[in-house]
Amino acid sequence: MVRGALAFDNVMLYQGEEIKKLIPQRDPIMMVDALVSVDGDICKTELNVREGNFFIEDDLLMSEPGLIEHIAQSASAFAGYRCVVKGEPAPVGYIGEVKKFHCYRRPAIGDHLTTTITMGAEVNGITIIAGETTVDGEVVADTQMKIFTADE
Amino acid sequence: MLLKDKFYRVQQENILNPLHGVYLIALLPDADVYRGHFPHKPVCPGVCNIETIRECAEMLTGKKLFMKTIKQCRLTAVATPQVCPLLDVDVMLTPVQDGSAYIIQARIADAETTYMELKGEFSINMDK
Repeated sequence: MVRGALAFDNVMLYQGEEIKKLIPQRDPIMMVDALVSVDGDICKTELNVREGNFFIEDDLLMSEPGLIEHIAQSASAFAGYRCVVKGEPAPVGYIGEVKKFHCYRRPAIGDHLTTTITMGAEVNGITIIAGETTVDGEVVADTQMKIFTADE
Repeated sequence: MLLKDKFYRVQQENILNPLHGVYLIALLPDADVYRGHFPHKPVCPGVCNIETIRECAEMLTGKKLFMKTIKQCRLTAVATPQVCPLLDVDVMLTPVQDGSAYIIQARIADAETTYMELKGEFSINMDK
């Protein structure tokens, strides 16, 4: 049975190959390594920025859209998790809108990103989320997003 | 640049003035990103279209630009290399007073459809 049958959401952990159960993206554009915790409408995810990451630029720093994609896929993993615990397939989500995105610092290879997603209510297939990404406690980016989910 | 000649190719540049350019781009259907977005169902990642806007703004200004803020970016239609093989990327810049950044307004569209509209502030130095 699915792992979500466990009672304690806050100790849930999906990582490595397991994360593929939650998100539809695959190499070379997988931008979440792990869903580390879920507590109500809030989840935390992680990503290690490795050499060869799709969004690493010539100056060896991550392009800002890489942070947006990481936050979007973190929300997607959260939505996927909620479906998987109900025994449903993970949905495919599309970014509908990015709002109030700030990039304070572009991550470097070797940085360990920790992201907090706050999920709003879903209305007509549109979910508003807020995401904040930190490296060693320093906020490197934050944003709001509207995400559309497709039922296929 | 991250995506130029990998995700898209510039077919034509129409520089209306030093702060306003329209780039006709061809999406490359064999781009590596479609292996993962999504398997057997190629869809342009919205973030790649955002990056494409930045790269067009860099071509227009000849400067490396950082995405300090995106005030609002609406993705109004799903773009794929099949649905919209050719796209216009319209980039309009307004310098901020101290010269450290540009306010950007950009749109990606073809004759029928608008795929993306973006408003933000791109800085010339990341530190500002």
